Amino acid sequence: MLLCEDCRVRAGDFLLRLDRFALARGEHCLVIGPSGAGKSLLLRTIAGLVRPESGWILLRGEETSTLPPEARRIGLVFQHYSLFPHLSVLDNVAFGLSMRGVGRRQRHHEAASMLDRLGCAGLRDRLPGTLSGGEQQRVAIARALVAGADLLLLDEPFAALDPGTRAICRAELRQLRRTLDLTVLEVTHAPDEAAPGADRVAVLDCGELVADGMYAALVDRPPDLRTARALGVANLLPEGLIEPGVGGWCTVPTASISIVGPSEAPYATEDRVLRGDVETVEPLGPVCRVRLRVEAPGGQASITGFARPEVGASLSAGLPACAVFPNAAVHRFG
Amino acid sequence: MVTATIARWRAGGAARALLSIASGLLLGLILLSLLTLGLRAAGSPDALGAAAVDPGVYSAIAVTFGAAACAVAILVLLGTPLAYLMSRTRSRALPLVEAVVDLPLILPHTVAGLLVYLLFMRNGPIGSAFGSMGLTFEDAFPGIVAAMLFVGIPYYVGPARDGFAKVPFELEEVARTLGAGPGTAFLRVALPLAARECLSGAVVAWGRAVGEFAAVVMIAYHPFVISTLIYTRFTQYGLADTVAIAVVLLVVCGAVLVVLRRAAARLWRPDAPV
Repeated sequence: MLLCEDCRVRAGDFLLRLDRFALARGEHCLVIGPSGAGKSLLLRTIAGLVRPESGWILLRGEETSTLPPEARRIGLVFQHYSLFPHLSVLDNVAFGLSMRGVGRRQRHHEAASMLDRLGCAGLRDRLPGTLSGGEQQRVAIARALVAGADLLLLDEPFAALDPGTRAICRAELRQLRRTLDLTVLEVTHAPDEAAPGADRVAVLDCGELVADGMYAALVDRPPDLRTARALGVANLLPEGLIEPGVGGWCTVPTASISIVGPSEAPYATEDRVLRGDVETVEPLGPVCRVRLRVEAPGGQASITGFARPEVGASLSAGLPACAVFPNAAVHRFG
Repeated sequence: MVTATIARWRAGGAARALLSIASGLLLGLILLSLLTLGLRAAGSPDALGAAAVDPGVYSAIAVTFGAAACAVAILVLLGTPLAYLMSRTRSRALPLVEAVVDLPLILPHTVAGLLVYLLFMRNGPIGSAFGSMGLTFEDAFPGIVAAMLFVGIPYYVGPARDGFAKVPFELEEVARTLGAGPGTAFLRVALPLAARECLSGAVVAWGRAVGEFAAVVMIAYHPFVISTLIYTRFTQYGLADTVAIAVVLLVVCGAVLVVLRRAAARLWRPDAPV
């Protein structure tokens, strides 16, 4: 569906480098990374709003790097949906058809059908300013689809919605993708939430694609420090904390870490034990999430794990505690 | 009104009362001038009647309104792209461009007239070019249009630029992905959303053009525009005649301005509650 090769895109002093980035038809790929990593620039480049300095962008097998956005059949939905405020919902959705010269009656019929399909039939005569966030998001997607887009570029499309509406909209997008065989490239700052519906994630950092794969696998076993940092992986530790004198970095999945009081720390065990001071304690029903500040000659870090409720109840900020985890859970890199 | 103002002071609405006084003073100044004019005109009903049927007055009104309309039409045609570019450009040269656009605002209008004259006189860079095509500006209708155009630039470009700046560029980008070329995205999205500010700027520029005297008279004393006519009648015939003409002009100009303002207000506003 989409293949970017040797792409170099400049925006001021910033350079986006994509040696190879591919999307298969029907795939849903998340783009994640810290602010300023080039995520939105990637979408704008694929949409044709920014022209690469060099390289190729193949869309549906055809070279499109010099093709203007209006000729690409790509739907772009921004965080604030960018509905045209002076047009009714129906005219917004019919906009793309009107650009293709479709007659008024036909385009209104097609737009109304798409609105109906997305459960927005009752909104057709409303102005965008009167719609809720979820409604605007549906209308924006309907508008992109009616215009003939089979590739949707979503730039944090759910960020402005409340959690309940977000979940509904995500489910609708999944359904729509399956029904219409859509390919979706979505920039998100909430990968935990988006990952279950996506096929894979691409991690961008400082304009470079640093990792590409399944989200859970990348979070549990990040290939390198850059990816771990770009993903915001919890429990990113200097390895010297665990093995004094050793350089490099490692991660430990939060679920593998038990937080216990200092007196409960095992003395002779295969497990690793890190001693530190409690920073926060969050009761989460059957368990408590506890964050410790660990300082040792090998470095310092925050480490988050779970404690039994009775242990959590005995802990508070500043008190000593221990993080215990199996050696096998430690993922080393760098 | 005075009692009400004092009551407000006592009620502790000092800020509101101060606002009322300041606003009242300015409004009062305009209303008092109109009242004085009206009383003066009422004192010489014969002169008022003569002015009301004076073909010279209506000819001047026609020339003024016609030239102002032409100037604003050219201004809209050339100023809209300029305003759009200024709203979308992040260039370091932008403050310089803004200063150049605003220059006619701070120039004495006689200087603006001089600049227009230098450009459009028979030997001027623009005047000579058009002269070879048989179009002259000195003491001619096109000269009036040129002067009105020059002084009207900041009055149109400024509001239009602000109007375009309020339209998120994302909207045009989305329009592009939906199949619109850059021109269509501008015409179908940016322009309708900035139309209110553009029209408002055009009305102000038109009003400024209608009232222009110094810049116009430098290049085209003839045919008479309203302000030239008033000045000439004042120097030749005295106050009574001038006052009567001014009343006729005020009524006509006021009516046109009200109609244009209402048209501008009826346009959809992107920031209006819906």
